Amino acid sequence: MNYVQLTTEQRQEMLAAIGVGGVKDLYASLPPEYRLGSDLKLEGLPKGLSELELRHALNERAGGNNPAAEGTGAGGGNLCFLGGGAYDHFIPQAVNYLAHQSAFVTAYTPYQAEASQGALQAFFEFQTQVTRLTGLEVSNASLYEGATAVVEGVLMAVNSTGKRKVLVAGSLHPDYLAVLRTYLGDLPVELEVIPAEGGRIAAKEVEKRVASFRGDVAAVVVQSPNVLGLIEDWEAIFAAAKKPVEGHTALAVAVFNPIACGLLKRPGDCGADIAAGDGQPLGIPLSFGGPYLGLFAAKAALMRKMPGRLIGQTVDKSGRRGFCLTLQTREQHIRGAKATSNICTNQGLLAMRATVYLSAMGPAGLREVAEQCYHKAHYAAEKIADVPGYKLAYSGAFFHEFVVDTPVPAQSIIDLGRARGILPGLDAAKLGIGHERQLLVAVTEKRTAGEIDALVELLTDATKKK
Amino acid sequence: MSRGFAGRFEHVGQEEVSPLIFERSVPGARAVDLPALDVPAAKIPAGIAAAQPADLPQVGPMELVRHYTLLAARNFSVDANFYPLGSCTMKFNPPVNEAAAALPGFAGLHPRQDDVDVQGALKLLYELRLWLAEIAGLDEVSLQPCAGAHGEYTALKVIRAYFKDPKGGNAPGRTKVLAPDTAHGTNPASCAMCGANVVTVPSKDGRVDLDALRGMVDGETAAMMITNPNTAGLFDDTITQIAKILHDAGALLYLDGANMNAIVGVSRPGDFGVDIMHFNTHKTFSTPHGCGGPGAGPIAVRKFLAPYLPVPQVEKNGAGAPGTSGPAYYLSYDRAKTIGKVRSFFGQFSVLVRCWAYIAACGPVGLRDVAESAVLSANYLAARLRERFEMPYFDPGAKKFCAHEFVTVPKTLLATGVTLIDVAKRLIDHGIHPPTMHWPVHNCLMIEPTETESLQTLDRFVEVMLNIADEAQSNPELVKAAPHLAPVQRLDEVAAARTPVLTHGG
Repeated sequence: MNYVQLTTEQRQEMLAAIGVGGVKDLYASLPPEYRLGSDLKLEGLPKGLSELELRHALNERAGGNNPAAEGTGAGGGNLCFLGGGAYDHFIPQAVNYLAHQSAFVTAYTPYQAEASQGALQAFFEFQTQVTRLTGLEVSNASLYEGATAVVEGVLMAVNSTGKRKVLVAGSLHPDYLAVLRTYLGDLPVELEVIPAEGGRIAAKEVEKRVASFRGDVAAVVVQSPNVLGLIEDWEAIFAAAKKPVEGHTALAVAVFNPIACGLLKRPGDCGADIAAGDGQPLGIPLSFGGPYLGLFAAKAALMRKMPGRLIGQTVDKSGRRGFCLTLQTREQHIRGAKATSNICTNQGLLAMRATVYLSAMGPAGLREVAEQCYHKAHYAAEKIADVPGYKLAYSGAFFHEFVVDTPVPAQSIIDLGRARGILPGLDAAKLGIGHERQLLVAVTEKRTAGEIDALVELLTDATKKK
Repeated sequence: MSRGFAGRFEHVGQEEVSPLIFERSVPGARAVDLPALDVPAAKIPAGIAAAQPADLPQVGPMELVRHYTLLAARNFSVDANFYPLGSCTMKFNPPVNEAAAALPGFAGLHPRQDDVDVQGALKLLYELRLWLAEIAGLDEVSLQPCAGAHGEYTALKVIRAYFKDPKGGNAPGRTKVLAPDTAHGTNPASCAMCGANVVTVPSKDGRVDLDALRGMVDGETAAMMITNPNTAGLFDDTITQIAKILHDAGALLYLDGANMNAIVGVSRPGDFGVDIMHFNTHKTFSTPHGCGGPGAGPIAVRKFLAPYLPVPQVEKNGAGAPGTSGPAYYLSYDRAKTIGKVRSFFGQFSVLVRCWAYIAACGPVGLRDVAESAVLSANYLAARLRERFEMPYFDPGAKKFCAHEFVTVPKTLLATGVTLIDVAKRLIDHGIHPPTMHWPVHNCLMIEPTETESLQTLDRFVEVMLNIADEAQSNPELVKAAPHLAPVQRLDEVAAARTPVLTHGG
């Protein structure tokens, strides 16, 4: 089924109206030698599938996986203690139900404001929520995902300061750093990594390095909670980063987790000029890594340098409130090569999920989610540290994720967990944040005390196996 | 006034201002609860916590559902409305694909699970990788890019890496990228992000001006970005000459796959000289637009460019060969000359599931019929409208047809003083999304019906367009004041940009 509903008779009628004998005539400007002489040879797909066959084929492929979590539903799945940038949070059914209405799923980018008031208002509300979550003044209507949002933050800092050095905390997620290196690779911008001694970076070190570049630093990028789960001292670090050097002040880029903003000090409270992060924890299923949601906010002074879509409030001819895309002269379809970014869309449907999630949770709900993450992670950390052979790899405050030194290879624990339906954490060596006897464990509000005890039992048993 | 057409908005009307979620907020209200904390509370050190919770709206369950349900009623969508939006390919989004993406075996996968836990997902991605390569007529595909513009960016990085490689293109000075004056705005913007210089190639009669091109290609040229069929709705039959001019000069031909819906299964870019291209799954392969995203922009390349593709790549072990161990499918980071990572994790997975499902449903013959039906539908609309809507490139008598979309510059209509914006807003009254306007040339409408609309819908669109053309003559003020049936009247976009209000209370 290719979803075309024109009948043979109708096609004849249409050809007659055009005045040609067959569809091939319509390809008059396609030289015959470029016309495919045979059918496409699609591996394992000699012909199209009926819906029933299609569902079987999809079920077979979905069934060939051992999912960490239950996706958008409730119940089932494994016990997931995996994090590293993607987290298994509770998704209220209202998020699936409301964000996935067909009027949102199948709508286009809201260029035609009068026909898109629903989406535009929702994104205006999303922007407002993100500014309140981050403590900054301006948010766009979202970017692709976390890593590219950080890239856009850095590029915005480079473009608005005209400076060429970017300092990045060594405790940034290694994937984010890798993407940043890709993007800066062909640009006249130099990236330097500030080592994270003891798992975190030091304000003094930041101050020293910023000073050493003699006023040529565009941005200082610091993630908190960082990739090891530790809470960085944004206030001290950003204060150090923003000490004027030779008349220039660098911009502070905070890489944040939106759930942590429910409990911890917000980027804007700590002196950040730009905040970027991944919105996946806000009601977006894990879905093997995508699509996710790039969150992006900044101080008001940077408004006209923002990448991506911005929704503005306005009035109609009768003075009634309405919403439209605005400040489009920043964008690629107007400005071409001089645009603030090549980005052409927001992640509409994911922004919709996030905004419904934040409305559903409200301030008390988000605070409770964040607090439960914090308490349960600390309960798990304490219990695990009590198991002979295990200890926390780092001291210092953490949020909902922590690294454990393990007496056996982390992979052996992961393999043992598979048989029990427990995903105990990520192998730090594979993630590029430690060695093979370290496990990065994330604990969300979804995990119960009993499930955490099952994790502890798994870790205990893992030391008994050969 | 609505002439019997079911404009979506008639239920909503223009009576009220839609309240913001913040205006529905009542202190203490809450829509969702959580289980009670079942572990001891840990100490939260002084100094790390925010002074107070984020100022989010506080609403109950009914208010939450009503708010977003009413917002949905204030939005056009493909499910409810015809979207003849040129260059955007607003085709039907099959419901079965939405169900597929939500299967727990897909939606519940963590991106960092071991390969052995995600074999079904990797198999699907591997199959899609092969399918898209075959459709492109090219050798290898990367599924990583998040969107069309991101695909462009990734492809340009690949081209750049190839020319920087002493054992590859070995011409690091090639930093110039050519693009026709009809190119998508993302083309030059993506070039700029790669540090490339963009030079615009003029068009002649809706096609690339070959003489101008010859004069512009030189030893600094890395590639030309071209859309074919082009944005004027024409298959550029000089494409092999374009390819030859570039290849003779050591440069590459890049295809923006925005218009693949006209040729999928009919003609393969690799066969007409393209070296590298991107797809838009949300155009050609029916993945929903979602008010602006998520899309996906896989890229396809010739073999000599494959070493530079981003990591990771989905690979298959020698199928069941003796001595092979480990799972059949795996994610490989082993690519010495890779441009690196272009995003976290592995592509827009659930979008790619939908794309796979669409191709699987269509099959090889069905895909060809998609293209042919899209071209048939566009030519039918053009033929029915051309008497009242002038078309610079369409003339069946002279065997000048369009591809899957066409451009009209409606001079007679514009002579009444009615503008294209007026026409667009009047279409909204009829429950029809306006076509693309003023692009690729000024004062044009670009119309793309796609293959999934019924003949009745196409005929109704013709009737509405002719009716608006009549109104422009008989009652232009009615058209100029449109929309009349939308939830709001025409919005002041100039004021919005002059005094930006981007947040509530901000």
